[in-house]
Amino acid sequence: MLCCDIRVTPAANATISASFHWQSGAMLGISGPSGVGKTTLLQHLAGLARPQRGRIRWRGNSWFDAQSGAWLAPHRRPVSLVFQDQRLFPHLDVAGNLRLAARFSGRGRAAEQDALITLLELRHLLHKPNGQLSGGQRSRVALARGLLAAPELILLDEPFSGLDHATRRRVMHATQDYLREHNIAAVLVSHDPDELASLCDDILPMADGETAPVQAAMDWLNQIEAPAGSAIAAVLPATCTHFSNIDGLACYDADGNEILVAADHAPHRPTARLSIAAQDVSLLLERPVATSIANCLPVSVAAWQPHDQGLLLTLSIGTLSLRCQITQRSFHRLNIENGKSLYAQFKANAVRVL
Amino acid sequence: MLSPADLQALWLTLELAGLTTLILLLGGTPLAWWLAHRRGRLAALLESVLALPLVLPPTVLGFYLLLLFSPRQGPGHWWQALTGHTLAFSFFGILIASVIYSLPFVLQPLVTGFRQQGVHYLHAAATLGATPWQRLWSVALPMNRPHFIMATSLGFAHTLGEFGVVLMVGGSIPGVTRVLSVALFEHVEAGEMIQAHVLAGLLLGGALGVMFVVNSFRRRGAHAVL
Repeated sequence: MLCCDIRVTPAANATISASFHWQSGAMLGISGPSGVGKTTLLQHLAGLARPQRGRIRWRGNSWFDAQSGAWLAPHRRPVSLVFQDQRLFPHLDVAGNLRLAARFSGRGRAAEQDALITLLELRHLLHKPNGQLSGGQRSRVALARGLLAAPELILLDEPFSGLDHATRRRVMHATQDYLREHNIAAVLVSHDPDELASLCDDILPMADGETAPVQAAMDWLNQIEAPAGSAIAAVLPATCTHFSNIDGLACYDADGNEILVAADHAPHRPTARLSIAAQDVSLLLERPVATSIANCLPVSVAAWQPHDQGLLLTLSIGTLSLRCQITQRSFHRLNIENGKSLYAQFKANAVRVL
Repeated sequence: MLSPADLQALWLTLELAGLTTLILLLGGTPLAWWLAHRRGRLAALLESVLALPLVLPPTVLGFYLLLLFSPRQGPGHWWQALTGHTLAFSFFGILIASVIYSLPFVLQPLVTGFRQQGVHYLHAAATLGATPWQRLWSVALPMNRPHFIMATSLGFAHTLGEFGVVLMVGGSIPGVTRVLSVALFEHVEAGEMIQAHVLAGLLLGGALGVMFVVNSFRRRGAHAVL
């Protein structure tokens, strides 16, 4: 539905060439190191700048085509953009910014506006001038403004970056729910792999000013080299089946496998993606009789590769895979070979819900 | 205090300054917008030409305008053929002269405002679905309110006090071109110091009042915008 093949040479920067087809899915994540051209790409999609050549199509409509000269002005594109630097109108308070967005887009009925104010926790800020807002508050207002104006597609440039950890997760999920409910597609630029892992269906990796083909988020997540500072992990899509305040555990189903998660890690949401770090998984030859470790899954060895001093194993559980980091010594002691059946163990506390 | 002739001069001055400011705001806003967003030599040259009245002696400007307004040739001739009146020594003549003379005082604050504002907020508005007209009306203009207040005040105050250009182009015809500054000059010439004091005081008070308004808005504007 989004088809882009453009070449851009901004004044002082290196050439950016973006060529991709995004077929389906609700949210496309653009990942890549900073300065790679992610923001520039968004601005060209929004129509704030004109590429040197190529074309952009959205749901069969041409937004730009260098050959035919087709060009759709930014305000005619059914797209809104949430800027990383927010750009709240300085002459208006929060309510004024939202009102103007509703008026510009010709949508955003009062009910919708009110729902967003509640969803993004803005009610107590409505009559504050922009100058008195904190960074996180500004981000939330910008997000609400963009959502209010988004007809079919919204482009999000690091929209959650100013938020503290707890608010961030709430706002991320609130945004996702709103987009689903109103059937708005989104493109999310983020440098945070967890954010991309939590929200996106597809990923467009960018490096050195060029895009790689769009991948399903699950494939991308389970193949990326861990970014600096974070551990290698496997990400599993799962649905929450049971939530127990007594046990302090939440129970998830990942393709038929039951996974227990410490309840304070788990938001009350029906679907989630579970991240399990490779260093938290251990292997056993037989199922243990009694153990304090909550999760034990039958797996088979699919592949391995050297990693640091030891080895990184890829383990299959049905259609899903886990990662496990072990030492050379354990590798020999367990007689690891391709296809070998084992049990993988990890604590409920080791599972992060993204 | 004021003689009927001076009162007439006062009303004429206010009328001239008001009309001049109005014309400059209507015409100067799109011009300032164009200058602020256009790069290139033509725009730079035009900006320099339009700023000339800032540094040019008013009599020089008045001299050239008088030549242009002369009924013997060019615009002055066409004007007379069209209306039957001369352009020189008419209210319309000094109105045109005032507009040219005060143009930079209205233009400069607006260009500065539009330049400082940049395209950031306009881009934001565009991606929210604002048409170019809405971007101008709901974002660019209200965001520049302090600059508009400054432009209005400076344009008005500057026209209040103009002397050389009016005298050159309009002379001193009571009720037509005899404005306060000209009347003041005539009182001093005639040694009527009391009347001169009254008019000078009026002009001083008016200018002070306008500058006070400008500065108080500038202080408040700075808080609101930053």
